[in-house]
Amino acid sequence: MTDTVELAAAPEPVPFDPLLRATVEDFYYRYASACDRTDFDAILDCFTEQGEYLLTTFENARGQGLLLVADRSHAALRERLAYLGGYWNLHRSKTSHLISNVRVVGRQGEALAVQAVMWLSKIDHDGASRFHVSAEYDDLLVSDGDSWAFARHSVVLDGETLPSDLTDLL
Amino acid sequence: MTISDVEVAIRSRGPAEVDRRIYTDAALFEIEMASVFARSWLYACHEHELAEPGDFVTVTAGTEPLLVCRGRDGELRAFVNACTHRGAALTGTRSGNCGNNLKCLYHGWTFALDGSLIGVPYPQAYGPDFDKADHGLAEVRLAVHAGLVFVACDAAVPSVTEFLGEAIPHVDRLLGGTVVLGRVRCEARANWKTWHENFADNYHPEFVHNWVHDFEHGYANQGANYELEPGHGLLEWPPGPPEFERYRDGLRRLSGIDVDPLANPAWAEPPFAPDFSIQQYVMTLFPNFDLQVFVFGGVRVIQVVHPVAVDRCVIEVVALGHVDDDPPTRQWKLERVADLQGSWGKLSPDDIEAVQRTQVGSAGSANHTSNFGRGVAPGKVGETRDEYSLRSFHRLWRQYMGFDPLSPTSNRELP
Repeated sequence: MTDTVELAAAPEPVPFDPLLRATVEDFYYRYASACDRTDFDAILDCFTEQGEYLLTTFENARGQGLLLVADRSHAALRERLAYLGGYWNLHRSKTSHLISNVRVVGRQGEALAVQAVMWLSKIDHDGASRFHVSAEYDDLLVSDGDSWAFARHSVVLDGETLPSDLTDLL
Repeated sequence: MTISDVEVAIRSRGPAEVDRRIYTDAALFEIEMASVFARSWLYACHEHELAEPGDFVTVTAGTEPLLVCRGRDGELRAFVNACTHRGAALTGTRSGNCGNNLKCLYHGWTFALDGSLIGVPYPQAYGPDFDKADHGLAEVRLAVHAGLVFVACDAAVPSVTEFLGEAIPHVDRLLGGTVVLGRVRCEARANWKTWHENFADNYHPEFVHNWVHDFEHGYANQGANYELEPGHGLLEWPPGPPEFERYRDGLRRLSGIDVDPLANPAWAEPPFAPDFSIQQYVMTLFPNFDLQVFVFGGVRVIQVVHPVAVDRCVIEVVALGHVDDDPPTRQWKLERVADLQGSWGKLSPDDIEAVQRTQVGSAGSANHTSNFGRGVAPGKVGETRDEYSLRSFHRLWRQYMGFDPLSPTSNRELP
């Protein structure tokens, strides 16, 4: 049996609610679209003011907890978006985020604990569209009007050897 | 082009003028695996990752699969990771604990942690002359220095202290007391040497990295560049106080996004006070080991570049802490030490882009030579943008490859 990433504190289970899951899925589609359109304002809108974007690998999540990225708050996210917007000297290519297997795990205080799977495809250096990375999401969402926002967006990459460009938000 | 044509071209030039076919010639790459990687001390892991009997890691030395483990007697040993029966690798994971022995999944041959063959199912079929003592694991050399575990496949390799040479005091000073916090690997579509060269190069950072240009403005004219015999290098420069306003202006100018970096909790003072009176370093050890030491953030990161093919490598980033780190410092390092590194970080993606473009350009047919001639004064120390460190590497690489012009003939057979 494959180990799974566990939440820091066990959430309180909630009964299955198809409407709730639909609203959560709709939020993830909004986030994916914002990333693929490189709409930085729309990306920030997906996070609370103190929302966290955390990135690590499956190996490190099971190890000592080394993080590759730990952006906490809009200020940190804006700095990373500035890198995406031109501070890195990289050619940026089209991405497609596919987010699926969305599961509402439970409630943790005011937040909704949600897990999902993400596949990213990207245009490679030869112009071909290829699979890039896959990851598990282990997120906390809070209500934001009629939608949701990340209080914590924790991305755990599946692979141990990452591609040569992993600068995109996942 | 035949290898001998390339060899003639390389021998006819000094280490400041590098034939670019060393990055693109597949036949040379194969010779490198035997002539350089098999004959060098290579970093395998950190000693504290193998704390208990049965703990193991698997590494690739060039293209040789190795297994490093701690025996029941407490000793560390390294073996070719191949069952002596049919060659199956003895482990299916990169690291773990194998218990009291290593058992091959294929036919059940079992080895003690000292490498001796202790179990063969149905051995009578091999006849009365079969002696398990003749079929132990192939052991390779292992040495530990400053907590670093080095392995060498060739029995004739000099001692690790002789191999590390003038780098030893720097290894001791910069790596003593370190512990591994975690590791990540990423690919680069480039020859392994371009990545190692990138670390021995303090000419590029202010151009390749907007972060360095803005955040550490003023460092570029300060520091020094060292050749450390027999083929290592050291870059040294002062940290200076970070220039947040210049950084903010750069972010806004290049992205159109107004960012206040000081509002980012990541830039808050760490739980340990950065000492801006000491130096920052990059140390390069022949052939493929690099260490970065940055003041702000207490960053110590090892990078090892593993050759995969002539135009592909895997970069292993090892994040380090220190045995004396208190819990808040350790947690801070777990969240920050890897932030600049690898294909995800604020610095290294620019480096990967640069070496990948170098690989593309090196395949061109015009002008086969790269210039590593910065720093013309005699000696082994130059200014910060000089390239004594790079020539140090290429000089030793040529010797290992048998391309040393001082040798009367090549010291290896051409295929």
